[in-house]
Amino acid sequence: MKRVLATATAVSLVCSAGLLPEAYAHHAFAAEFSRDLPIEVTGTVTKVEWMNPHARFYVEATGEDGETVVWDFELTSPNVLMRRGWKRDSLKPGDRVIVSGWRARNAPHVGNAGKVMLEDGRELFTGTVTD
Amino acid sequence: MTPAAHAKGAALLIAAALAGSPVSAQWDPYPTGNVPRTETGEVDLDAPAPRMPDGTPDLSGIWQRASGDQDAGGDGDPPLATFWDLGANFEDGLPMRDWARELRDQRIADGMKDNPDAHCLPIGYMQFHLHPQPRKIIQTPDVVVILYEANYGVRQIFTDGRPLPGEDALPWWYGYSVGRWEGDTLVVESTGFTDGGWLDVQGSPLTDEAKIVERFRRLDTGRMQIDVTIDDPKAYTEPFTVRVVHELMPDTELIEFICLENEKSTRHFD
Repeated sequence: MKRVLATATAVSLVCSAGLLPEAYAHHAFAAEFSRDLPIEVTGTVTKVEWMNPHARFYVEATGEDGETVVWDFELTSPNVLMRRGWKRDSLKPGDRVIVSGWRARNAPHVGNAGKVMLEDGRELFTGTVTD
Repeated sequence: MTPAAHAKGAALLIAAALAGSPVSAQWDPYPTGNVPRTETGEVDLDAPAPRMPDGTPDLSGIWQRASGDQDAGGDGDPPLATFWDLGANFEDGLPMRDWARELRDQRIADGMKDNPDAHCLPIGYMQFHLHPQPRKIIQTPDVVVILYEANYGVRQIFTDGRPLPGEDALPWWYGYSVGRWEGDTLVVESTGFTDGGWLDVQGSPLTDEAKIVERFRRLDTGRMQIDVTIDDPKAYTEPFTVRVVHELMPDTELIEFICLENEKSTRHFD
């Protein structure tokens, strides 16, 4: 775990230094999401789709009324994530996560993941560009 | 810091960042051929550009858009284009006709949701030139092929002496490109575009009347400069020229990108 943490830290440093290209993959952020709809979701990863044009992961969480909801979180594309140090099992079903990001304008449980914090403290930087 | 030095520094930092990760790359790095190397095996990005057996510069390699501190150019040099806005460094923006400006503004107001890229369709030369994802140039004496990781695009530039097709040619998403060498510069002329194109993410229009001239110059092993003149009288009041700068990405490969593999975003567009 120490090795993974060190890698995540190093990748974050590279990203923050602006040395990696932006995470634009396929469409402009504004086509689907709104910066005016920030979200933070705590839950359990149920599925990961490591596919193009966007990697996606699904999080089961408790909704405002106590009901169970499943969030569909969009990441950038796998090629961009790989160059940022991700691997296809950086997130796995069963992982407890806190996801910060932005909600889709017209879908209540679809989001763009800006930052993913795992229960063990690892932080996965997504590099989302909000236009 | 020169762009080449910056690229070298970035490559080292990225390599250092990824060194601790056992499976962070698609596959193990494999050395790029036809590039000069230092005694320690690193690609010498500041060395003169490699050449083909016939003496022309060899543009082959994997290239990425230059990072932030690229040469801004001197007086008289074309303004640098950006991925989002080709006219970002023009004092008054691109010289659009009124209808073209209104269309571009509407495309922005719509969140740029109709950019062909968002629908897994080809995105045109300028978005390809400026896309943050890399591209691979394969040069032969008769044709230069560019493979784009973004949207897995492919383009051919014929350098075998053939002319551009006549006006009856069917319009293509990528148009039709022929190139010739003027000294160390590859000059590429392209026509025959489909109408309704997007020059940048914000949707600066490109029409079927456009003629594009690109001038590719490999400044040294690590840097490529592409000056692009767009002459599209239907959408613009005069031709304009922008500059793109690329940096070599040695010892890596393109990664597959099949856009329709799992496209689920467009159903959430307004």
